[in-house]
Amino acid sequence: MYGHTSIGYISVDSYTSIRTALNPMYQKMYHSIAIRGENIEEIHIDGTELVPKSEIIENIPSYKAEHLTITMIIWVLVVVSAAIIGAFYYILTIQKYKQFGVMKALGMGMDRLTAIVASQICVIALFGAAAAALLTYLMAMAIPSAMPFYLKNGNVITVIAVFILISILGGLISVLSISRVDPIKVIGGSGE
Amino acid sequence: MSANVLQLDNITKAYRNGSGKNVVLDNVSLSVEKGEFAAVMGPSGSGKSTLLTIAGMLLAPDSGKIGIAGKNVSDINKKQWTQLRREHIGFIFQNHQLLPYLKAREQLTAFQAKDRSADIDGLFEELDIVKCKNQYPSEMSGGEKQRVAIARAFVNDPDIILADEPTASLDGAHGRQVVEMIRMEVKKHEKAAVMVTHDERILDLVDRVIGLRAAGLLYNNFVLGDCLASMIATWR
Repeated sequence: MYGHTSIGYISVDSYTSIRTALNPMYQKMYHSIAIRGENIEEIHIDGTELVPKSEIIENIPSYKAEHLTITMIIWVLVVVSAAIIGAFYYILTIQKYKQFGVMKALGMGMDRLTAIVASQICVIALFGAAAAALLTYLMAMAIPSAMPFYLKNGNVITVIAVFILISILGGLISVLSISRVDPIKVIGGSGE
Repeated sequence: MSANVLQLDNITKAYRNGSGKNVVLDNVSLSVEKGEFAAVMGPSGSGKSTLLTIAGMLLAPDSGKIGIAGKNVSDINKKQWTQLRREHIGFIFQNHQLLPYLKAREQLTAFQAKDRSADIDGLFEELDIVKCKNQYPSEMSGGEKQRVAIARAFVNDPDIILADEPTASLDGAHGRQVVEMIRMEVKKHEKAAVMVTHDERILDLVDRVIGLRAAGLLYNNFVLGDCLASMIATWR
């Protein structure tokens, strides 16, 4: 955002003395005042307009476009990562068909098998997300203060939660294939 | 139907084979009582595994009636088969088929239903595999793995035990030991057991031998004796 709106910090006295030096008739004027407190909506001063902080931010030039782009990148990566987990888990499932056949032959129902799949994917996604979050926080600490990077905890938790959910959904494909496994293939392996 | 724990009546099963039909089982009937250990023998293609699969509620016959523990289960929904297997049937496969990532004790607890459970530690003691309790399949010998598989078959206190060539992957001595253990458990817990086997050396351990020949029953209710030995001889 620093790249979008030029900002300089200066004390009121310094600014006034500069302006007065240029124009002796200069009168102190304030264009806008930032207020923090309670019941701000109740404040009415003649000749002023009350605008919330969020609205100001939204109207900074090109903020919206950039924010949208970054948000899209984040969520596309979340979906792609979850899909990768789902795909690799499916490959693991295929390799374990015989095991699942045995489990079904021994009477394990699809409800338990689904729970097994969901819990395994949950663990994988959780570990992946935790590792990613840790690396991101470490990187944020390592970046020099000239490059401001702030991570809001609320956002991190939301992204992780959605990521785990989408991963589990991806695992449903594996559940579907397990439901089609025929336990008969496990018996009579010598062929008949 | 009453005294018999497993009752198969007039089971017929045919598979599609290219242009025609291959009748694997033709009006085969079989009944096994509580505490009875029966062996099913026959050459390849005689339908032994198919019979076992049907008895184990894994495959539906084309026609015929199936009774398990006195209940007629021929017409029940396929979705209920899983529950039936869980509660009434125990399987022992040819190659133990233990889950590679579970320890021996966990192999049993993983399949234990909450309301039915046999004494797991007791089973381990009876089968002499107490030292394997916390080992993974990769750490156990073939005989030990098969004995864990036997214990697993009994974990939900089923009415019927079905064994598919349990000695096939073991040498003579270990194979015999495995069948002795199956027999001991069957007698001790009064289950009905059917074992498909090619191995005639262990036939003295069973109560009954049933022979299958291409789509039909060869002999049934055959009590062991010298006759059997000669019958097997002529077969070959």
